[in-house]
Amino acid sequence: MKNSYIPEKAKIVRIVEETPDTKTFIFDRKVDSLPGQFMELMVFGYGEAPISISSHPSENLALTVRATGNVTNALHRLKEGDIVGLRGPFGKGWPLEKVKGKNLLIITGGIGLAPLRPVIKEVEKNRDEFGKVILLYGARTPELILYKKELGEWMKFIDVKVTVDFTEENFEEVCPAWRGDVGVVTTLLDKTEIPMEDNYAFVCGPPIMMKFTIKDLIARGFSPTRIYLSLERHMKCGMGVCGRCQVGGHFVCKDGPVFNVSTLLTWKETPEEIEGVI
Amino acid sequence: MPEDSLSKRYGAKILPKEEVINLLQKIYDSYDEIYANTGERYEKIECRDDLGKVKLRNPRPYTSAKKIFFLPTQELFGYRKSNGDWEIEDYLEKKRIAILGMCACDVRGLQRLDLYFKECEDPYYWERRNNSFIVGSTCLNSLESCFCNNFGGLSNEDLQYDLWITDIGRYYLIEVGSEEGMKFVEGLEDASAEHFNAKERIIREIEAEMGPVYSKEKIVRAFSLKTGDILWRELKERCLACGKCNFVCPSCHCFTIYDDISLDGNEGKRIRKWDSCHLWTFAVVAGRHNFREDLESRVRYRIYDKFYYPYERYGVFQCVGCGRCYDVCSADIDLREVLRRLVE
Repeated sequence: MKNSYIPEKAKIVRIVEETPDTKTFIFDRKVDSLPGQFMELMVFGYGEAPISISSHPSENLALTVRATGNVTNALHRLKEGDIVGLRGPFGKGWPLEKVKGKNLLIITGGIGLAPLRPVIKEVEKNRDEFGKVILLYGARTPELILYKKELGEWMKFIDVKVTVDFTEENFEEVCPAWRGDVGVVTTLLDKTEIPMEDNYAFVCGPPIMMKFTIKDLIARGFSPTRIYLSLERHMKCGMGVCGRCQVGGHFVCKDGPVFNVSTLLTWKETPEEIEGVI
Repeated sequence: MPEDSLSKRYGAKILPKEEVINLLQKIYDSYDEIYANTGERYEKIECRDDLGKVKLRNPRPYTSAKKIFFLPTQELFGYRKSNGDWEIEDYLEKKRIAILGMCACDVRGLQRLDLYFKECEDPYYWERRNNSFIVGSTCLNSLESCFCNNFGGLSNEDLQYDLWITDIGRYYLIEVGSEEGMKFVEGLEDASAEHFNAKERIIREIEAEMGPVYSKEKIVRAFSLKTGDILWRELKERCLACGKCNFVCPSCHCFTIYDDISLDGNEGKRIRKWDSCHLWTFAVVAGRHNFREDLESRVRYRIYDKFYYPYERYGVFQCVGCGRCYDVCSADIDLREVLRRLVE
């Protein structure tokens, strides 16, 4: 019997500073993963945290991590060459097979862009297999935009629109050089020509952002069966036992984290528990 | 489970009461760890003389047998820094375990717990659970809080066991449920229909003492319609969110994982510990967002996860009707009352 609780040791080979609180860690190995799956990342002497994979399976594993808790803050103090523990990959990914030959609308907020980076890379590698692909991305401030350099690269093969939703009075002070869109990510939907035929939507971001995005998409005539989202929970075991991530009797770690919205709507839970869907 | 019950496949024996201690001693000698129903709990038997403590006719003990296979605190592995690298030591142990005098509800509870631990191949559970030797026994009286008659009752027809002992007066009826069990009863006299009739009568009489039985279909239907029922708000007002019900429940499987680290940070242990879905911290994620901040959602979740969700996923209820959660509840929350409110 394989003991899936024991992490494998891995070396950090490169660290990319994305924003003041977010770094991308690149490891010394490839992981046979699907876009949308996650890893359990262990910092020795601290503990473990579930982190979604932000690299394409064909390249070395990369995890984009925001420093928010004990483990992630400890991770941010590590340097290139340091050893961490990895378990995974876990869960089910984005349904890329269904999207082949179709249009794809990707809507993300904040760190929610990370689990969709492998999807965008997959589109880049096999551009002919997808129809129109649009990425709408919302960040709080320009400073907090992830993958700044790559966003420019991505514009060469997909439509990319970025907005910041920092609307306080001191906007000029916080965002001095920003000339782009301002407002929550759903405002980009009005400014974008979205094909309604043969279109799928992948959504990932904070609960409140996903709630309003899904409402908005459905109001525009998007069928919930065509919308997928990635739920966030604190998956402790990653394998469907510990119960920490259970929603409506489903294990987010094993049955998800990517779920179809029409499926979510049939779950016997109140909307707040399913990340505020509708 | 095959159509014919286990005892029909492997046969059944009768044993004069005074000889049962020999049987228990033989089992004691064959296993690494022995636990016995001593009336209060499933207690670890450390020496042969303590086998006299085994109660083969008692109602269920106050705590379940869950703790024997799914340890309340399990050290998973340890790690230590050496020369800039980390060494990992797996604490996994293989144990051959026997339990004497398990009640039907606890054997059933264990089979329900198995379902969760089958979601992945959890070695810390299965290295204890595989090859375990289960000696069940038929309760000769029930407690006020028992309502197992809703979920299979005292019958062992749907259960997996090695031996099943029923006190039928001057003899014990010993049903055999496995090849392994056969080894311990060789040479004993075969049981007859008369002995089985005695057992059936005992079961009928005890189950008749318990409350009403609701059909599976009725329960499932009620739960499918009542996520917004006022009952959940009432339970929220009463529940103290202490989590005792989770700990005594034979099928509650949730745990947390954390690291216990030495002061200098050069050594640590990964530990898993029973957790409770009633605690405020249960569904907190990074950034302090709490998906189950409201107690109502936590109270409702546990009850749905005993009846509706496992029915959807596995086709069975996780509740086995042992009534322990009611016994320990400081707020007197009674699942029988919950079922009655929802179903009727």
